[in-house]
Amino acid sequence: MRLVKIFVLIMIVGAFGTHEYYISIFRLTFNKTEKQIQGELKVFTDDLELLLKTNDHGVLALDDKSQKAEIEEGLRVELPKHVKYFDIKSRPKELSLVGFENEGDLTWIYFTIDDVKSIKEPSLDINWMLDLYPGQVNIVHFYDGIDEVSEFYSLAKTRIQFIFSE
Amino acid sequence: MNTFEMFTKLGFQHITDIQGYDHIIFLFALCGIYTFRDWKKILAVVTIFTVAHSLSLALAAFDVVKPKGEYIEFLIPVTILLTALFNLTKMGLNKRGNAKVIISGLFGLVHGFGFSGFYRMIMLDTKPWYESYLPFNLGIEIGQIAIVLVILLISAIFQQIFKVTLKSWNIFIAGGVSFISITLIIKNWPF
Repeated sequence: MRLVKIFVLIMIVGAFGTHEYYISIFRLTFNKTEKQIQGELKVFTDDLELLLKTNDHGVLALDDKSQKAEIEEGLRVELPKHVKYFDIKSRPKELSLVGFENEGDLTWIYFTIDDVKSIKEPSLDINWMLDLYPGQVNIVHFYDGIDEVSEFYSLAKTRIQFIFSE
Repeated sequence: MNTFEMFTKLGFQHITDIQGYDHIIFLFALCGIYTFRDWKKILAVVTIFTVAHSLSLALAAFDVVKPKGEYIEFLIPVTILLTALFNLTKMGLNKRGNAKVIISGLFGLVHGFGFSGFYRMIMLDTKPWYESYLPFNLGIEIGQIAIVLVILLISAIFQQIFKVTLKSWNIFIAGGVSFISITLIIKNWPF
């Protein structure tokens, strides 16, 4: 009888099915000579299309080259809205979109943060995709030219200060 | 956190994520009838599963083969259902036989293709492949061992404390796992 009860419980759990994983990857590289951080954001194409659609940028297909201008316009709005960079004195620095590349189910967004003289203890505030998927995880790999530090961002943790040995 | 720790953690989290439980129930179907006494057989089953999924993960991640994601997501619960049904046969209930080892190897290939979608997302093109591939697989391995230990503990509780016979326990696992895998097959139906 006990096994029957557990079996019913398993059936109820099973009825919900598995969920997709929600994840995006950021890679930031500090270029000391150019006083610039060069950023790359890897996202699932369908997630990004949904983000643009949900935020009133129209129904855009990332593999449609004729929509390139509209997509970039949408990214220029959405990227700085969800990703913020602060220097050691908590002064915000602007993110500039460079462009994007689509390769099937994955899309890369390229951006820069200019006028960065030093990256001693910068902070990154990231809530990318969290409006759409509360279970979203954002991973940041930050390379200062010598060391790389990696961090997990989630709904519970949207701001992290990076400590480099510079 | 350094890159090695990050990828190990990602591998561990990916396989132990309770909301993405398809790999967990496959391990349940594979190892559920065993107890701690059968550790040699479990080691063989789990090792072959690891070798197989590591191989197919590498083949897909490095674009040697490009299986379509929707077919893999459909095939994973099919492998789980077949394993559960196999458990109901005489050969499936035989703890000493090698059939489970073979099944683990064959179906492990399908599960490795399943891991590859996630791995392709997290891998870094700027780093040598082994800096992400090896720690990610290590994380999966550690997670797999943890899951199998929990399965063995549950199995021991039912078989040794509640005195459920091996035959009843096996039917229970096969029934529960079959039901879950059928719901996943319907949900992931690609045709």
